[in-house]
Amino acid sequence: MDALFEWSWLIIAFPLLGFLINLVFTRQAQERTVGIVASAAAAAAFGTSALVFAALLARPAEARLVEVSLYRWAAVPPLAVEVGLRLDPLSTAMALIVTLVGTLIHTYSIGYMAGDPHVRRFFMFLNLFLASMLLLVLADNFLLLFVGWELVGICSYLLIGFWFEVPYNAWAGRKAFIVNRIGDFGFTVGLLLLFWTFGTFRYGPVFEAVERGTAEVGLLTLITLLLLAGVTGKSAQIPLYVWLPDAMAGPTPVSALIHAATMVTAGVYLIARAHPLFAAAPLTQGVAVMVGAATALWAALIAAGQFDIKRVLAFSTISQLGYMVAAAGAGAITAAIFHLGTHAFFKALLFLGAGSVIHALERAHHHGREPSPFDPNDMRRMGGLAQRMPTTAWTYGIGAAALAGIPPLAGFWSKDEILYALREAGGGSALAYGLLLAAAFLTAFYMTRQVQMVFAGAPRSGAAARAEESPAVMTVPLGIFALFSIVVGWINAPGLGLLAAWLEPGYPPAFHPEQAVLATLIALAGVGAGWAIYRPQAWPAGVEDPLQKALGAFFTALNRKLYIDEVYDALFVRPSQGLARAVAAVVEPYGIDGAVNGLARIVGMSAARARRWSSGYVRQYGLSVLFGAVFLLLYALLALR
Amino acid sequence: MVTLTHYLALSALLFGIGAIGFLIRRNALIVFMCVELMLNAAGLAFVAASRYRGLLEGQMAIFFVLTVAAAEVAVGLALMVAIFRTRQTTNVDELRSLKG
Amino acid sequence: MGELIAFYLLAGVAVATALAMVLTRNAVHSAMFLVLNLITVAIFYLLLNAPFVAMVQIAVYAGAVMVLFLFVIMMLGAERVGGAAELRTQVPLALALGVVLVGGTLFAFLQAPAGLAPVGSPPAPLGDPAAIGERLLTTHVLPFEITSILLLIAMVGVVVLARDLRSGG
Repeated sequence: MDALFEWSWLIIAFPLLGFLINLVFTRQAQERTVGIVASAAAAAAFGTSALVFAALLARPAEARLVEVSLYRWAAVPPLAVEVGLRLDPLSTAMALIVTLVGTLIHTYSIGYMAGDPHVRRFFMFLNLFLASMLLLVLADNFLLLFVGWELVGICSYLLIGFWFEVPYNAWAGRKAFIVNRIGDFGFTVGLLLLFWTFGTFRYGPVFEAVERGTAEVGLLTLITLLLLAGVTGKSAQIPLYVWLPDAMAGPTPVSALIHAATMVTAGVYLIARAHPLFAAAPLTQGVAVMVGAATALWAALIAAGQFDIKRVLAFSTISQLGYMVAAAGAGAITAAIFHLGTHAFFKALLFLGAGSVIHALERAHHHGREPSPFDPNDMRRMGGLAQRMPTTAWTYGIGAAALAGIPPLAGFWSKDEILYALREAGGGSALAYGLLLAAAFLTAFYMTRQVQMVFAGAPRSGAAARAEESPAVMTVPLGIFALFSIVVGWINAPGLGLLAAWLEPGYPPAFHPEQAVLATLIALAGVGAGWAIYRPQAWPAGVEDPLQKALGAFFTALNRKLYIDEVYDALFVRPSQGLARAVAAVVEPYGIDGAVNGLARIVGMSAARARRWSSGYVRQYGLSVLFGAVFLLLYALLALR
Repeated sequence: MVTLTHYLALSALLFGIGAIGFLIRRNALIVFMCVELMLNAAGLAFVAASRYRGLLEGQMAIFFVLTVAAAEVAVGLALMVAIFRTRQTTNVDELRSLKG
Repeated sequence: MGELIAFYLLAGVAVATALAMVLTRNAVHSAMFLVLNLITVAIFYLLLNAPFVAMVQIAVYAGAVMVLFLFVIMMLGAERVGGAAELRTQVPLALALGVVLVGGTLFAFLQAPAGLAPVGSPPAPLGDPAAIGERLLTTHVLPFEITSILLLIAMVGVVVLARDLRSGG
């Protein structure tokens, strides 16, 4: 069984192989083959992950840590960069989630991206992303994790700007990458401090040193705060969440896989992974909790005011990530990972469902005679799709209910655990607890709003009236995800507590009736409010959004994302661009060019002067000879005394 | 009494005069003659040293200097003749096509 | 004492003729002065126990080489070269360097161990032709042979260089 661990690197290698095969052997015209190769690679990774998981499961709880050293990348004493894998409950659980969701979304993409002239490039990048994410998750040292971190960032950029012919898409990709970079700068400084403090990047030695108490608290706090900066970038928390809504410019499978289920969860994974460090830095934990809770509420508010179907889901993701970050910050690792897992399934489901809707509307618009431009993402042009697209509708409904936290669906269990953990943590967490409750209400509200706007009532555009259900290759994954959204929460329900047993043996989740009832009531209240406002009967005809009418300017603010993008633009973007322009106008031509050209000019001028020595006059040459002779004579006389 | 230093000083003086003349004059033939003067001065130094050390080597040296000087003069003058045929001048300053 | 006077007298002549050679406008006059200089140096050789070399100097140098010079001067009509001088910095620089050169070497000589008086009387036949000949053909046979080849090359070179291309050499 242990020999299996030696092959665990295949988990990363399979998607990479898929990328290479598509790079070298397939052509754009072989659409089907490309998709099958990519999905097969993802499935192979999933299979290997499952095998490794099983092998680890077979061991007793204390022995579930295998470190596989692959090779030494660079060694400059005292720095040694090793490439190795750490197979423990946390990383294998993450690997399973990532590969399972990844495989399903790859399959879905075969149908969604059919007919696109660049399908091959799409699947290549998707495989590359999967390999990078798995590297991040399975790494055995912080530096290698960071390598994976950066790689997923690149893949995200490539995939957001996949249809780069449209300037907005390319811009969105750049925005994502640059904002992430800011967080990554913090991460990098944190990494450097980490190495400076501990002398190594590997998890094992670092955690042992922290346990022994050899590291000073102030330093640890600084390191963890810097790592947290990276988390706010990658996991879209305040203040660096602004890239995620624009990242919706990418194809929907990308939004589902990268910006819901996997890449954005890397920050949560980091906090979980570096838990010993965070546990020793209470200040950072407090900051993380507040940031997460504040983000959760903030994003939920904005989500309630969006008209773009994917934007709602994007802000919903930011909000749910806030839950996870708050939980991880409070030390409730199992709760955070649990929610990560459940969220991966139902959020992916919601995105894929949205993709199905968008796909159907686009096709319907194409066949119609309505005027362009037509935005297939706009919920105001939807409606009545429950009749036209039944499978999509009921799977979407399940996903929405799971997200809202309706028992006994998956979201209820995981959200409940987070809420309970925060309530128990005490201190400032009470405020965070309140924020998260408010966010839960809003979550239920905006999801109900969305379901009503999209699926209920009468169609509000010709395309919606003509929409048709998506092909099986898309609806089957929807069904599978829906099933998971129902079932996956039971894994860690009190009584079963499988995930807790896996991650933190000895801390089984208990059932807290008063908490459960409170959460359910809040969720139902949210659903109720949403239904009350948006049910077709209460919706006046000709009004785009009843809430807009009711809240007026406040709604507009919500719709405009509370103007944060504008603030950032004024504070950071414009000054930077101005600085860049100034440098380009002044420093570049006068400074840099001046120096280089000046140097060339000096050389030219001295050459012109020196050239006069080769005048052609014999007498002058003779003078040079004599000069040399005299010089040697004087040297012999004076220097060689 | 006359020492080697006297002869060496004389040789140096003659050499210097030849060198300066080489650099100052523009008539190519006179320049050649200055070269001969320099060689001659060197020869004087050789023979003087030979006498004062009691060795014969200095005189051997002057033999070869003499011979080579003769050969060099012959070739040089032939060159001057050839140049004069095309350029009609013996002014050293006018022979400067090798400028760069 | 007498030796010293003789030396200074001859030295004065040598330097004077050298200066005259360098400074005269007329190339033929220059050549004549050089001949005088060569003869003076030949007399010095005689004083230095090198009679054979002295004779060779007169016969070859003053005789053959200078005659060749005069031939060419006359043939080319190069008595005078007119025209303005073009390199104006040449003369001052040349003078300066020349002075430094001579001054430097004189300084070096005067630093040498005092006098370097003659090592007693030289063995009488120091410049004996027989001795020279013997040396030429034994110890210095290699330079001797090479020099003779050099002369051959010079001869061939002169013929090639000076032939008149128009008349088909």
